[in-house]
Amino acid sequence: MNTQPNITQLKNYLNMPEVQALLKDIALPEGQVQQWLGRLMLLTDVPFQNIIADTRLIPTESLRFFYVDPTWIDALMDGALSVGSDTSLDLMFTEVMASVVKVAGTAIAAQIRAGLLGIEPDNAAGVLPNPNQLMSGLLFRSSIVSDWPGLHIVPTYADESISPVPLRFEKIGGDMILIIFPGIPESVVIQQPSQALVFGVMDGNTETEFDIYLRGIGVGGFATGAEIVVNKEPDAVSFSSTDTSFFRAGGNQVLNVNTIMGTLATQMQAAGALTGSLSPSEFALQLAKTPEEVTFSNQTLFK
Amino acid sequence: MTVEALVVTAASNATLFSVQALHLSQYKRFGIISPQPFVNSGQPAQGVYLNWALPDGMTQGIKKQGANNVDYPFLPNRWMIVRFSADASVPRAAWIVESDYWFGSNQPSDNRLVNSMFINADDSGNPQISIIGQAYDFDSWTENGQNSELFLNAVGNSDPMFTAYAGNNAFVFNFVDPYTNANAAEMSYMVCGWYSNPQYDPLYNQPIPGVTGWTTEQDWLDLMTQLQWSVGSEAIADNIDLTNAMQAAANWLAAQGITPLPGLLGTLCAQSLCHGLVFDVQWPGNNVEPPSNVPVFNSTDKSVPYVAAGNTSTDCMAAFMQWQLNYNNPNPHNPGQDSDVELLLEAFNYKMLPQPGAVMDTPELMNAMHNAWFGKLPGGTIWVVQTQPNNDKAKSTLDSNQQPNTNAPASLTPQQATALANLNAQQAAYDADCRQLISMQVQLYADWMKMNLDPIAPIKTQLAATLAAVNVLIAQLSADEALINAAHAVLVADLSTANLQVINKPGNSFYTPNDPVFLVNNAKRSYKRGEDIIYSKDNDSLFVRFTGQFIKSLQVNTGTSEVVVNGSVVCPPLLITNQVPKEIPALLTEAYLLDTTFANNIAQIAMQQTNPPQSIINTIQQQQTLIWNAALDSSLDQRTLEQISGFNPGDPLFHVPSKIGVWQWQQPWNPLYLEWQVNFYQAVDTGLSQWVFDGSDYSWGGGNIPVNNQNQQPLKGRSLLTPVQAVTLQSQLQDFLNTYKGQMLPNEYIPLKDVLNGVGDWDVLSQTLKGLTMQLIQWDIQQFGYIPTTPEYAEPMEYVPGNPTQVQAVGHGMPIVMNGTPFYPVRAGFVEILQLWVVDDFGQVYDLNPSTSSGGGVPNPMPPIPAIGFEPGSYSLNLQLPQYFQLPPRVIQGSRLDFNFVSANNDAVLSNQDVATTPICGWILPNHIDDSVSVYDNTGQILGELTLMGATGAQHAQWVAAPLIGVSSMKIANAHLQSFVQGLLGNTGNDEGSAWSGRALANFMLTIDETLWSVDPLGERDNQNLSILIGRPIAVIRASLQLELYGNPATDLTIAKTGQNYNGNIAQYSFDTQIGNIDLTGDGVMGYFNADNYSQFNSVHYGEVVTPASPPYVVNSFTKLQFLAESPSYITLLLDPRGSIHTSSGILPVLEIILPDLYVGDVMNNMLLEFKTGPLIMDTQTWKVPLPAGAGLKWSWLQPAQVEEELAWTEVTSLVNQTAAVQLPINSPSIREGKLKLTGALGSQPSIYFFGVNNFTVPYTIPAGITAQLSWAAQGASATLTIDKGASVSVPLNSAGYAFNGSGTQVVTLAVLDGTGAVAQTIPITIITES
Repeated sequence: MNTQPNITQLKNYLNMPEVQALLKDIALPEGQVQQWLGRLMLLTDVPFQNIIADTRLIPTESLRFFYVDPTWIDALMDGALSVGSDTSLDLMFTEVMASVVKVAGTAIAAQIRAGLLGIEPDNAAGVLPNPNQLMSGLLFRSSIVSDWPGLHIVPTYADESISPVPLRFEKIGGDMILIIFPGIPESVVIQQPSQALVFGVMDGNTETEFDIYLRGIGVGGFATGAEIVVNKEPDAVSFSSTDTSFFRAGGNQVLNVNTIMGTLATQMQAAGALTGSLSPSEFALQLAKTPEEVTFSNQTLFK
Repeated sequence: MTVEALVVTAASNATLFSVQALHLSQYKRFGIISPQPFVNSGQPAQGVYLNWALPDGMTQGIKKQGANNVDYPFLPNRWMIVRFSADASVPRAAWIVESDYWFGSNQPSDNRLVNSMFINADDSGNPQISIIGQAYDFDSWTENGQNSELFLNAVGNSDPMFTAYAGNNAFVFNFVDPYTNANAAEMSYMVCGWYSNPQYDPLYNQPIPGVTGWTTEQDWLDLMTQLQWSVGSEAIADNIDLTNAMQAAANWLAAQGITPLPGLLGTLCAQSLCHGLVFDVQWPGNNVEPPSNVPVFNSTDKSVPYVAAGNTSTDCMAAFMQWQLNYNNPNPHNPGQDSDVELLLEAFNYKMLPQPGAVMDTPELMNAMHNAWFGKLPGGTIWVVQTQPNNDKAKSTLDSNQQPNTNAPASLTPQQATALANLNAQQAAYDADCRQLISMQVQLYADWMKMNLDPIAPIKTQLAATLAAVNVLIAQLSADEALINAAHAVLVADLSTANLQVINKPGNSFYTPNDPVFLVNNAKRSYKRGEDIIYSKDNDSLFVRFTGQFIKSLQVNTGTSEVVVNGSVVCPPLLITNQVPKEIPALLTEAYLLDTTFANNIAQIAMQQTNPPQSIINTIQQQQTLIWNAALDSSLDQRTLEQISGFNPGDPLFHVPSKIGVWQWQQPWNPLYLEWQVNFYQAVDTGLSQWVFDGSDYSWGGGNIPVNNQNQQPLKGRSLLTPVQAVTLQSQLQDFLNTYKGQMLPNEYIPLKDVLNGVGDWDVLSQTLKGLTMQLIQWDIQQFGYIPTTPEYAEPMEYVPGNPTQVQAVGHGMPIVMNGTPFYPVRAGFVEILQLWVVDDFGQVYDLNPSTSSGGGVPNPMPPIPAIGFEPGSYSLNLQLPQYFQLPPRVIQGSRLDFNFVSANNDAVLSNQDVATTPICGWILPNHIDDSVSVYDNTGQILGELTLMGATGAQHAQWVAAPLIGVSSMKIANAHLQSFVQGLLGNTGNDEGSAWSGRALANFMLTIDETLWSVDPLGERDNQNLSILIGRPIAVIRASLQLELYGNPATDLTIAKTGQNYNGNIAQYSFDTQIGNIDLTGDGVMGYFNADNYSQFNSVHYGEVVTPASPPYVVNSFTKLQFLAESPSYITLLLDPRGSIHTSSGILPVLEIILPDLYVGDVMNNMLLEFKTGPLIMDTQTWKVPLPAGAGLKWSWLQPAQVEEELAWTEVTSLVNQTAAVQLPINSPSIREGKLKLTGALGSQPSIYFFGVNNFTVPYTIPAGITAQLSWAAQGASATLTIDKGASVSVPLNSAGYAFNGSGTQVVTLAVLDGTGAVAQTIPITIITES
């Protein structure tokens, strides 16, 4: 008989809380592993079928908000950490180290995007993000994604300590964008890129109808640029694409500036927002078109 | 040559003497020849006893290149002794000693202390015995031996102390001046020796036996180097020392009117002359007791001798230092604090010194120590085949140290395989017969001796039977030799066309246990013999001179002038005849000038006055000894010193002789022998029930140590003492500590410094108690044998087989045939030291433990310091020394644990590197995550897996055949692999295991798992990456195991037991054997199945099996092995092939066996691996499956289905890797479970496992201003990286972060190559400026 049950000794030794604490202190795997885990935590490298198993889950022109299931991420981490586990010794070691490695991975996850943006990550002060903080995200499949490079998607959080910088913001295919937020946003605003000032009209209630919403010019109590509201409704000039008086002759859909200016002035005078006629700059103010944006509010948070 | 003088007066009585000659007169009477220990030979007669140490070059054997045996030069046989004195009361006298004077049937007429005898063969080979050695007054002597045949050499009488010990060489290398004057006097002696027949001189140019001879100057220089002699430094320009010496000789010859011999013979030396001087010998007067330098037991000062006992002198040394430092002379740095200097010294000695802070008692160190406790005997030959050396240059530079192309097993035709197997079988039988012959020759010798002692009928019958058997065996062996040679030749021819060669490998060695070693301190070692070069500063040679380089004069400063005093004036002329060398008068003159007692005479001559001032005398004495006093610690050049000293002013050619030849007298003490007497208490039964085997050795577990009159056996002997061990260790230690000069010595090593700096006592002598062990099987190896002269006995006894495996045993030792002598084939017990004497070359005795009782008689047993392995029972070293030391069980006769790999298919065939004889039965791959074991055949084909099935609590093992190619457990081809599977199933007729099997499999898995915890051999196999992916494949290996004796078992030799062939029941002893060792990280053994019992797995580690199967499947018992078993035990081993196999049995050294890589290499690469996979979401139309990364890996998907109630598998080979890139499924995905199959591409090909940019995904688009880090992992010989069109840069095979800067789109290529090919991977990286 062997007289030395040294395996038992080793086992007991590894089970001592002091030893485990020490291990956690000194045995953290090198940076590469944490990098890898941090990326995995943000679903990088996850086979796409495990994110969207079926096309029907995200048809074209659709937006899907989701929560990142921490249990699923845990399982993913466990799978990742189980590579190379031959024996129950490896297993035991992995168990001891898993939580530490995960925290380290989370820190890396927070750094990755910040690193790409060249800004200070929020955990730079040594405050690690809470690995149990629920993450959420959105998948947006639309021609907007392909047609408007530089789309802005801005989350706002009830908890102001959460960084507005998403953890992941990546165009993962031609028309698909994947965003992961470090928490649950109150609302998410999707904006057109705002590179330049343009003139334009707004779409009206029908396909052939256009609206021009009126803006104050500092007359009659209407502040410059502010929307003119009459009877609690935004005051607007509406016209139809079939209304030839608003277009120049020739059928090229070129606006007739004179007609429009006249109509606008009449309407504004009626609202008490104009005396006299519109100067060119005042006219331009009426026709300046702001970038389009859509705000999605989280219904669940306010209930 | 060192000459020493022992002054014995009528009042000498303090010292005990033991001067004994060999009792050669007993030779023809078959009696005891060697001197017995503890014989007080009484006080020698008064006189001055001279004893000279011959030059080392003459006493050490010379092994000529290519020769098997060692030649000993002949020794000078003529010695002239001159006594001279400055004291007028002592007349000058001269004598001649004829060392080889052969008295024959005459008796010496002088009254000598002993009659030294010599045995020499006459012309017809018959032994002749005579007293030798005669002294003459010089005046009455004439030389008669100019042409005689010389016969004396340093191992005369087979006695290595022949030239040294006074009992052997009275008037041979030894002379007694019978000086008896009642008054005090002082005197000096010069001794010169030469060859009566110069042809026997080692410098002689014509070769005769024992003399090398020379023709060119280079030959002569080589010969001088061989003799460890040098006339000066050869390094000096143009060898000026030799040129000067030759010039001095030429001058001297011319002065003497001698015509030199022609050519080199006339200029170089062809003759040697040994000379030595002892001066200032103080004769105290015949009735005054002279001083003594013999150590005395004195408990009041620190000169108490301690004796350490151990298996090796290193062990003794380490134990002694441990004792000194911790108990006897506590550590000055940490008083009261034990330091483990014992293990530290052992580790140092075995070059296994741990780094500071590491543990010292590693099993590796213990093994190294244990292995040194045995002597080795060859174990025969095993023939193997291998492919011819590979000439591929690239390959050969990669593994130039390896055997050619060992990576591939040979593949033999059935005919070749049969021939090879036959050759091995024949060779094994032949080797066994050779060993048997040697043992029977010993038996024959013993029988013949007994017959001569007691020619009774049973002995005669026995002798005749043994003789007949030996002759039969000899005839058999000569026939077998021819057969083996023929079979070998045929096989070689047969294989040469197949590009294969047959080579021989040594079989497992046999071992004999070492005799215990004693180490004695405070015995005052001496440097007289074997240390000629001790005063040589520049080289490893003794400084010698040519004729003519003598000192002839001394220049004395009288205070007013420089006066040159010629030696010839100081020294009255010595009249010599032509019969002695003409150099002698010159040497005598020189002796006068070197002798400080003549300083007064020299001063008188120089000052021309009878009472010269003492200051002048002192100055002269300083001049005479300047060279010795300064040379030891001065950086001054030897030549400068010689000139400063004032000898031979103006003579550029002379030299002062080496200090070893000029000796100021003191009473001598030169320890030679250790005489020992111990009580041995045998304590063992055949079951070894009282000895506990711990996996490496036995220790006493039988309670009180059984020492009583019944099992007491007194053993005694006489052994040579040597200081060599201490000297070597000391200098190595010094070198080691010197490496820390200027740096801090780590705290852990400080004890080493303490022992070196004299806390330890380096005045130690150690000696093996040679012959102690063999006495237990009735053989006295101290005796040298009577060799029969009749060819009837002599020829069979001396026959050496054509392929000798051991030197002849006959002639070394003598059987102990007295009835009642115990016969113990296994040595196991306790030893008590009774008496120890250290005897010096003059026969002076130092009694190490004199009786404390005034009446003498009962000696005082001395408690030993037990070294590692010798601690009795559970004793550990402390202040209280034990009365006994332990000798754990050892088989006395040569024995071995014969471990061999055998063919997986046929136990009778040794594995011989032919692929058909691979010992690998198959492979198993434990999957610890889902408790299953995949089973592969020995080509790496998967057969199936053993897995747990059934409801929780009622699980059973189930054999599940592998998809497509698997087989039922009943159809596994290899019988052992099948038995393994069926053993675990507990079922031979069904793939479903018995109710027992569930726990058995779980126990097995647990044990393997836990064994892997500590068995982590990082062997040098190629497949390091394999285990990361799939775990560790374990080979199932077939091997044979047998305990074997070297030849026939030794038998009881006493007369009463004649013919009974009583071997002490050696076959009934059963010895525990451990296979595999969990404590050695390099060991890969998981466990084994013994004797085809597959229902029980012998694990190297028992683990904590919580719910063991009943009966247990996993056990952890040692295998019991016995000698003389009918056939070997066959075992089936489970081995991680990256580790080796260690077998240990305590009675033998640990045997380490490595599974040859060629059986492993390709199989592991080709091993087909399957991974249970699922549930996976996959598009089954396009087979998009996520696959593990790694270039070159080939994957397929095994899809199970049920066809007619049977499991059927489909293999999908073209898989598309499903990655993170958006690949919106076209078809409805489904969830699948199945197996991912991996083939090939592991190991042998260069591969890139991963190549990418850290923190970025494909396609790599990197914002400008960021330094990207490339990382990769590859396998191969070398790797290069090419960035766009730039030059290729050599890079390591693995990189975690290689900085990359660039702009625009760049193409980065990583290429990996080795001898077999190349592979490359390219990635495009785009640098963008927007963020």
